[in-house]
Amino acid sequence: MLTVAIFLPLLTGLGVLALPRSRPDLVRWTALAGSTLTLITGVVLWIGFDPSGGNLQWRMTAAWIPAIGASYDVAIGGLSLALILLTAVLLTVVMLYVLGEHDRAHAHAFLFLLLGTGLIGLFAAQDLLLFYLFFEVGLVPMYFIIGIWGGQQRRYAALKFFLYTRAGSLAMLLGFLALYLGMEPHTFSLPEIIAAKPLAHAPLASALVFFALLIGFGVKLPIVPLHNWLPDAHVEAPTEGSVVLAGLQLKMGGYGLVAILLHTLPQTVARFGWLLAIIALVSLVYGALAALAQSDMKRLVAYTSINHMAYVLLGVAVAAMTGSAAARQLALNGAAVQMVSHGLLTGGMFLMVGMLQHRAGTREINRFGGLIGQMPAFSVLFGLLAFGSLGLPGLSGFIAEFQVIGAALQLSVWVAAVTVLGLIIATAVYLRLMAGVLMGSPPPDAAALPALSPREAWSAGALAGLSVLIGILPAVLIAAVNGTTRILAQF
Amino acid sequence: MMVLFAIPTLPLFAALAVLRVGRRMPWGGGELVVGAAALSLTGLMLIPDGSNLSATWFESGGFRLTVGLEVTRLTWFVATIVASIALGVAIYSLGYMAEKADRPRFFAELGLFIGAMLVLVLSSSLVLLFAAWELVGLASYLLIGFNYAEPGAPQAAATAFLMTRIGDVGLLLGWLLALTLTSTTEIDTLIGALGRQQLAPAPVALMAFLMLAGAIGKSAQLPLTGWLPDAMIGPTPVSALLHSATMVAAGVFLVLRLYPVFEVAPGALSAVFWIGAATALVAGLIATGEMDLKRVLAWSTASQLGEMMIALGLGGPLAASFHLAAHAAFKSTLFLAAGVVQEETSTRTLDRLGGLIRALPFTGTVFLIAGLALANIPPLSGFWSGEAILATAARHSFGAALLIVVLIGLSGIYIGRAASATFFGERRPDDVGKPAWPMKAGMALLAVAAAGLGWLLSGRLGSILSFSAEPDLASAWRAFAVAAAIVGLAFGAWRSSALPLGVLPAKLEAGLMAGTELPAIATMRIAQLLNVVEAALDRVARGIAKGSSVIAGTTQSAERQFDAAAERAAGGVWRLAQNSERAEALGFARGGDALAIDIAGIGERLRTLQAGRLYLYTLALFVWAAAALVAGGLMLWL
Repeated sequence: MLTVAIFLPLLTGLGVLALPRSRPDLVRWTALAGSTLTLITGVVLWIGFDPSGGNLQWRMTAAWIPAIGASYDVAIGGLSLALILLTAVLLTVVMLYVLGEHDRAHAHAFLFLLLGTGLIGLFAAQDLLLFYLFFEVGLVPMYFIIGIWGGQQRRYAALKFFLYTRAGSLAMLLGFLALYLGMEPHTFSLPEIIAAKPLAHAPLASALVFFALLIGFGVKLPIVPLHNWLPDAHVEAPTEGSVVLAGLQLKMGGYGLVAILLHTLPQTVARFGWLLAIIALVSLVYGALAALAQSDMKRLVAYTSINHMAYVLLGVAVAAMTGSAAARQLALNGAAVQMVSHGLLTGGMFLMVGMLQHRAGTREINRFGGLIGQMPAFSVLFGLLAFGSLGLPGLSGFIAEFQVIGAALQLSVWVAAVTVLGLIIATAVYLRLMAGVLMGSPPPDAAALPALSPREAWSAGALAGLSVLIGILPAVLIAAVNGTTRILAQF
Repeated sequence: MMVLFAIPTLPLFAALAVLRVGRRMPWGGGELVVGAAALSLTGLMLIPDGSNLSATWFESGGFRLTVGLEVTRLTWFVATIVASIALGVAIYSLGYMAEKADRPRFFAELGLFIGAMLVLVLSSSLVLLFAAWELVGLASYLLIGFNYAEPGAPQAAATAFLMTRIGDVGLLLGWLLALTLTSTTEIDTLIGALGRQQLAPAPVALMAFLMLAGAIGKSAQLPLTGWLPDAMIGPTPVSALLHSATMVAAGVFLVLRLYPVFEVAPGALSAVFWIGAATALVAGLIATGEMDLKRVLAWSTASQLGEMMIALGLGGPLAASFHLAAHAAFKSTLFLAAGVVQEETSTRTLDRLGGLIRALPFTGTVFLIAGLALANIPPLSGFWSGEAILATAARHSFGAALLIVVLIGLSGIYIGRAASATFFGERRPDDVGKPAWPMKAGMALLAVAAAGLGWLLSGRLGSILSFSAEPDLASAWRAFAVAAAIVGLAFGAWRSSALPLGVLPAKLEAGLMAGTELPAIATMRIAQLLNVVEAALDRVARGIAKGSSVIAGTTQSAERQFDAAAERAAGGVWRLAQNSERAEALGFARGGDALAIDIAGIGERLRTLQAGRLYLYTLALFVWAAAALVAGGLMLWL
């Protein structure tokens, strides 16, 4: 079943390519059906999931390259499950959003579905080489998406994105190779590596591997100073590309940090815990401050991603350093919820910005104003997503952030204090955005903007609704994630 | 149980209902909110003391987060104040909003506020209290920005939310600290653990200071005062309910609710006193020189909340609760009357008003009753609560009591001046209309409370709340206070057309507002600087890319060294592009399609123009490869 979930998008994508060229609408509907089916498969995985059953559920193994100890080995724990569901949801939402856009629909749908396979596979892979393969599968289509359907500077942005993440993934691969070599007999099997912790007694080697993986995952997360690709890639990517890029691809980094780096090298992560914490705090404040100065909404939302994803790194740092298993689990639960929450809220924010760009042909904040009167449904959704992003209780962001901050408080009150400083600046970012776009009056020469179409309202509404669901009933998500984090917290 | 659940949720459901059906109702859905507030108040009258509801919200890492509501003497008392004022203001709003656009949105936001405020007050769990605390802030934001197109409104709404949030993160850290100390969010568990002296004093003191930050933000105490006067741009019923009677009193309520935490942290309690004293004095002084009627009342609110903080800091929670109730009644009445003045004359600037007592006799009478109550004149409510605070202060020290008398004198000056400038003297505005009957009804309801509440509660409050009673007050102090009030009123009324205390108050206000803006401006500067840095980084990246392609073209020796590798990397991308192109061509069965050309174009560019950049990255890859080799070697060696 897990394998079905992984390859269903790819199969749909291949099927789409076989459709006649004259029927882009058929392509769109097929892609939507395929991603909906993937979502249904994900829900089946969830129903059959035992929250206390460990990290290797729905496991399936098959020989792949036995000569070097690499195998097709997929299984899920709570964190993987949550991220797979997030992938399926965002993929479906994106496919819903692009219904009716017929610009080279075949290739567009194929690339997005290929991405879906890469991401779901990545979150399920229990073999490092397989993980790397899916990592690349999740990466390459985005290069084309940005390069083909992107904005004016798309080529520069695509190349920058590609080279940054490529360098990161190469560093990651070298780290994996070192772990592989450290195992006797050599194997890429993640569960075996986690059980053996091969480099625990080689301080220098483990430090090198740590930095290699930190760079690999850090580029994707992203952390300051490896973030420079992110604003360009987000701004130039088409709306649906930004949604997937922010909503899902950044999670590749976050998932890698939690499920691989922390899991295989806990002592090393603890050794460099303060470094991680400082990087996280710098990213948190830097991302928020940089967002505050933006006049382009898309660039603004892109920078807030740096702020939000830094909570994931902070959660990992706190989990590695704190002595209390309870606080460790609190931190990791916070990190896990933050990944899901950021996917929903920031994905939603990119959709909202895309809707404005589509209508007005610009993303400059000062070209808008007073949308409450013109587009009430849009304004409600926009406000909901913005307040969710700034951590208002009742939405998912709060659930994530307070857990990370609470755990950080056990480590040091100063770490928590800097974190809330970032929270205040992030609040200012969203307040400024809402004051400029929703309130006030439109500029005198601005054209009237039409209200939301049902397709737009449903795609953004689904994301906002899920965020509210998690915000009010966090147990839905935490119960699943708890299983993973409980195991992680006992390293 | 059901009743307890219904008390805060009825207004919330009413808010939802207003959004759906408000447009089709005669009062724009306001009647639903009035009904919900009335039912909540009825529920509070019926509910037995000690009722509670509690459930586990979720567990994370052994920390149990609970949500629950609880009727204690304090929560019942404050909830009753909230529901009563809300009822009066909601009735008034029926008339106030009758002719205005977007009524359903207004009443939905009002309902959201009333429900969230009742949750805040009745909550037995810190996390629920915090959630309601933030939702109240959201409602305040939405209501301040209700007239979103009015210049200044978006800014005022954002400032209010942001400044209170600075305090809110203190409360957030405070309750998280409580969570890490007790593993739960139940207020009773925390207070029980304090009672059994199970908690170390240092973290408890830290917790008290953090919670105090939340109280400062919400109650507009220094240094987070500046948002409150700006919030006066909101509709006047909002100013009456949120920004004088209930929401801004939440900070005082928080200290009351967690008083045991503060009691074991003497440092925090004296901070409460000093902050309250500074705010009461500064805001009271500024109020004397303000020209805008609503802003006079706003500064007065900050000052009066400061007085409550003084009482708390001096160990008089009973006096603070008393003043909270009395202030809620008389200040909301003053605001409602000011709202009538603004609606009927279209201005609220003091030097454009005057002589309105003849045109608006009812409103004027109501304003005077509430104003005299504010100024500590017996037998109105403010006199009794002021006396309680004075008694607490006098027990503490002569200086504290003197401070209270000075504050009473100041309140006499500013309210005497405002009342005189608005309702007496030369009649300024012409053709003044009459307030609609619901506005009169709302004002009447609250004015009765402003007049009689003090007499009603005096001597009985000790049996309603479980705080220890305040000491008796020496009659000399009582006489002194009333004399100060009368002198203040007379002085303020006499100087109604001028600045009674010279230019100092105006300077104080300008300084305070500038001090508020300064950190915001500084943050924005830093942000813009970072943006410049980001742009420069990007330029550098592009420059390096361009420059290195030049270098790559000219520096043959270096080129030769990395030539093979660069070719490989570029070739890899090229092959990838070609493969994709082939896949596309196969997929579409027709060659030469736009996509393939596009991809080929990118590949071509990669191969030629970008070779220089690839070259740089290749260099980086070599560093990595070297690092890996070293790592591998070390592993074999170790």
